[in-house]
Amino acid sequence: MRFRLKIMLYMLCLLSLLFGVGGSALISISFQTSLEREKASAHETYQMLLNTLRVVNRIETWSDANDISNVLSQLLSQNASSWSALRVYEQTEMIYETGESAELVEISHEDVKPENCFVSGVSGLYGQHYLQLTGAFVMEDEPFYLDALQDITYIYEMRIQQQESYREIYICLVIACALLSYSITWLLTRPLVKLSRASKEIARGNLSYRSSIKTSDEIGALSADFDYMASQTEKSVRDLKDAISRQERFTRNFTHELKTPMASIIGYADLLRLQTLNPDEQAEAANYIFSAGKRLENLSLRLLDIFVMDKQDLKLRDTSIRILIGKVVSSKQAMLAEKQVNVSAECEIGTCLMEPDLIWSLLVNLIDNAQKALEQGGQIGIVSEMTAEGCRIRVADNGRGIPSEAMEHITEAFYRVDKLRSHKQNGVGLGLALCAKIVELHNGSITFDSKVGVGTCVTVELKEGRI
Amino acid sequence: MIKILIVEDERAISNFIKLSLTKAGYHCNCAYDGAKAADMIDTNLYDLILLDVILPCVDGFELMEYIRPLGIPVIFLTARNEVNDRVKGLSMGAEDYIVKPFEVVELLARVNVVLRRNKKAGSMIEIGGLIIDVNAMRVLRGGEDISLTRKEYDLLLFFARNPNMALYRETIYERVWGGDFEPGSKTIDLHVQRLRKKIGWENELQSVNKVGYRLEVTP
Repeated sequence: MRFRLKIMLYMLCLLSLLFGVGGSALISISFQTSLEREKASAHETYQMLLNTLRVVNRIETWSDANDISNVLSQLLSQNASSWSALRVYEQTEMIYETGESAELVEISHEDVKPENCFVSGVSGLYGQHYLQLTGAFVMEDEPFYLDALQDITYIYEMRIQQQESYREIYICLVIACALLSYSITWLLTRPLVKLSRASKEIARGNLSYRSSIKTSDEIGALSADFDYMASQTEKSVRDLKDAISRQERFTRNFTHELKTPMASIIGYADLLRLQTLNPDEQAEAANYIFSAGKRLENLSLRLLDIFVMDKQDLKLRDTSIRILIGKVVSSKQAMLAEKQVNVSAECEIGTCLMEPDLIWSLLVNLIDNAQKALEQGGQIGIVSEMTAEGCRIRVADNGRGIPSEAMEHITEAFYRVDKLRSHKQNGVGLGLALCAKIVELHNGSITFDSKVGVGTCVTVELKEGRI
Repeated sequence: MIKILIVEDERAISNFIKLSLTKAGYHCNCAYDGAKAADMIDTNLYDLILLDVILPCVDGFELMEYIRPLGIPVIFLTARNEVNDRVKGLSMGAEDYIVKPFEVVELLARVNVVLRRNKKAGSMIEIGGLIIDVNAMRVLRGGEDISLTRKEYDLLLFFARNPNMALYRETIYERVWGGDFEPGSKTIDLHVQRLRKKIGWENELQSVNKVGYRLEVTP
């Protein structure tokens, strides 16, 4: 059952019960009050009647019952509508009767004394309601009794009328309550419907869908949490997809890298064994086989470096980065001088923990990359400084720079910014992948700052600590 | 003469294909990137294009879109032996694909099949004083039919299509009979001897020591 229907039914039950009880209580209280008031006023009028009779008796002494009847008739004619019926007894003998005396209930007057008066409710023969008042007065030591009947049917009629009106009001109230509670619940639960749609949408694969409910209540908070969860999930899925596509790219590139030199080797070897080639062709074929073989060797060694290197194998030693950079630069000096590349190194004195062979390899790769970025001649600047956790090395060149779209891929294995040039320079596309791995093993970071046509600056931070 | 364009960025492979095809009597041009290849297709008439999938500038699939309306048959060269890649290549209108690394004989065979299918290669082969009518499966010497068994004919055709090449027994068996050659089997030698006698190629069909046979003809 829908929530709003449930709420509506609950509200309906609750309110109809409360309205019912409250309404009937109100009506019965008002009825009781009118009845009491009627009784009091009847009592008062009755007393006045008795008093009048006493006073009249004292002034002109009555001799018989006829006098009393006359007085009463006079009194009643003055104040006509007050009593429905009157009956006067002398001892047990009825001496006067007027009005609808048939409705009067015969009661024994033994307990009735002049000083008190009884009031009781009496139901008439035709559904009327009366108040019967019974009292006594003494005349010439003779006890007289007066029974009076007052019609109060109108109070009962009023009650029925009130009940009927209230029934109509009650039905209207219940209908209004049903409508209001249904629409209020609909308003309140509308965000939930939105939330439910959002979750279905996300389940269907539309990960960027958000519930975006802007209310400041618990549902709003739930929606915000839900949206947060959705965005986190979306991010994880995106990361996962990225990782998968990186993996696929790697496999594809790796196959290509492996098969290309293999195709050369097999092809030329096949030619050599099948065809009679002239010496020039033979030399050419042999040369291709040799260089493809070298490339495969290079590739397998690099790959081995990247995949086999492990944190456990890392033998950290306290090393002076300044001396290490000096050694690398002097080993590369001849090659760089040949290409008219100028190298400058500014290094702070100090030592930190590192695996020197790997850092050597890192520096060689960075210097090679810098050199490859320089068309003809140029400048390579190496700066190193000590930090609290290790050291920071910067290798900058004024070469061609890296296009911004290539930035995020450059440390991926086999990624090359310029494939054609990389082949000419005998690259296998693993240099920066290796550097990134070495830096990762040293808990460090490697960042690239580059502008096309201006140059590239690579910053490496090693964080293995210092002694 | 049949002209073939080789589009392959790897110079070693490009050169090897060119060498093999030139030896087999085709005329070859090489393009090392997609853009250059498109220029060369515009200015020359080629009978066949060998196209690498991964190329700088314009990749093989993109270039294929350009070549397709021209109706030049294409054979893809690919390092990836993935079904998706092959299906994509073939559905784009390529005639065939060759997965790297490949052997010379396979390359020549595929090139030949594609050329014949596109009626670029003639159905008559003239070689060593013989005329072979491929469509009619007839062998003529001096206008007279020579009757050959099916296997002898296949063997002759294989030699005629790979002249001046040392053909290994394994390769011959694989191509003519199909399946793996059993070392020590004399099947090939027997057939070659009978073929020599029937068509009079006593000197042309030379045995290559420990390897197999070679058809020695002057081009």
